[in-house]
Amino acid sequence: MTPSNNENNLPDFGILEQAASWFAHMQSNEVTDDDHQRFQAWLAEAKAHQYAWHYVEKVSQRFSVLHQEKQADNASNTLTQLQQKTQARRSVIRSILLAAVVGGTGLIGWQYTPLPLMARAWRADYRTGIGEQKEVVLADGSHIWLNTETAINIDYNKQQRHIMLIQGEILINTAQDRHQRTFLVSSQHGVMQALGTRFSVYQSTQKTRLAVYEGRVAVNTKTQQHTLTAGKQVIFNDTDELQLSTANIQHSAWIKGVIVADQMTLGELINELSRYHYGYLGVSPEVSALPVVGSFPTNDQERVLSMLTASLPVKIRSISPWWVSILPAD
Amino acid sequence: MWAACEKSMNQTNSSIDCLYVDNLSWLRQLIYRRMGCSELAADLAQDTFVRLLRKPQEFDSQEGVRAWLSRVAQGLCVDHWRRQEVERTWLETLASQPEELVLSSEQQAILLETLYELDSMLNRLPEKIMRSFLLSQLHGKTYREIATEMGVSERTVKNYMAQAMTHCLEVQMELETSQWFQ
Repeated sequence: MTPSNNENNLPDFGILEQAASWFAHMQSNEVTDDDHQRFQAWLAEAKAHQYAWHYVEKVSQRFSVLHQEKQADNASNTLTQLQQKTQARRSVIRSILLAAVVGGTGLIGWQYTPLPLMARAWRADYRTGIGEQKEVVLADGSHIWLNTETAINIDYNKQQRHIMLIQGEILINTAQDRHQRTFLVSSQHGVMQALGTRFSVYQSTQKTRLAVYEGRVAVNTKTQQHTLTAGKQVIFNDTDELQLSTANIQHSAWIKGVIVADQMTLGELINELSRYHYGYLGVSPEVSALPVVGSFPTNDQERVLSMLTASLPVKIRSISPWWVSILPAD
Repeated sequence: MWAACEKSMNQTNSSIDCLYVDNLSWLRQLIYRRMGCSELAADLAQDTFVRLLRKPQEFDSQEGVRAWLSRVAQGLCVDHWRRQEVERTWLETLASQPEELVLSSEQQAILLETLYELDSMLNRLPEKIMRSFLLSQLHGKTYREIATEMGVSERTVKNYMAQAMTHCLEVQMELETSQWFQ
């Protein structure tokens, strides 16, 4: 970390992680004198390290309040209860399925979101759950549509308008800014600068896809730079070559609640559709390459499945409403 | 009314006065529709403007102002519900204890605030991670004891501790940096 990109000495996420790992280590019974010295050296190394450690102490103090009041057991029960209530509401089914899918089966379907990313998404400025979509009008009149399971942070200041895509997919219609500030969108794989325009950005764990429908957008990754004109799309991560191709306007059909399949395989369609639904939706390898054509609603899985069985040699196996596989017809 | 305020959009006190006058009753209405209690709506609307005073924002339009106000107000409503849920769960826990616990109202307030803060740090963590964190921080167990109890390795416990703390630190930093703007 250099002072120039962190003038106020606030620790970044990496430093918080370092502090947390020192904390975890210092609590174990394998701490040596050497560790103590290395810890002191780490602490002295930067102001941001001291801030981070100060936060560790603040967090620990909360627990000591509960000890002082001799309420450790009651507190522990209360917190556990609260967590169970929350998670029962939100994600029990999801985590069971996650474990099941990560544990086996070669079917296409679930994608695991790493914890820190999820933690950031939980506290994002705007976010949507699975199957939800939302339109946001920004202070300058720009519109952003959030697709399913998406989180963004918005930072407007004097110099720039900055949208941080934490996860998921957005479609943006930028407005003329009376202060002439630049409009930036960043994903974990690079930064995009809008040059007056309508475009969509989709971030998955591995890569980001940018499609430009009007105007131009400049992409900067760690290693490369490119300006895209309307009708083009690019897939990038922070290391490999940019993959350029023709933008598919149908990729933005989700704002109308449909997935338009044209030159799509069944596997791709199901992968796309599973972003909108809780539970497991998989397709077996024998049929995943079948071509599909049509418009499929994003919010009506049953209808999509009956459309598929009507037009393709496939059958549906449904163990429960949230576990559905598509297999070759007998 | 918006046009009258437009000139002084750059965060002087007068522009905040102006925003307040223009948007207060709209915001109260909005919150009232969510919470169904007019006194609470009045309180939360005030709190929303207090946030704006603490952390001034730049707005380009009336839509921008209202989008910001409704977003912050929504956050405050969610906080309010969560505080109620924390209190309810705490009282349920106490009620299930055989002996009655006598706490002063000050102790009670401190405990509830601490629980609320810890809940906001911990409740989104995966269950196992939170459990090992509580066993260590609240029950004072060693990593070895936790590992045995949970049937995982000590190294995993240490990992859980680091993950839990990282998440707490993010929340703590957010709490503190938002206070700096007071």
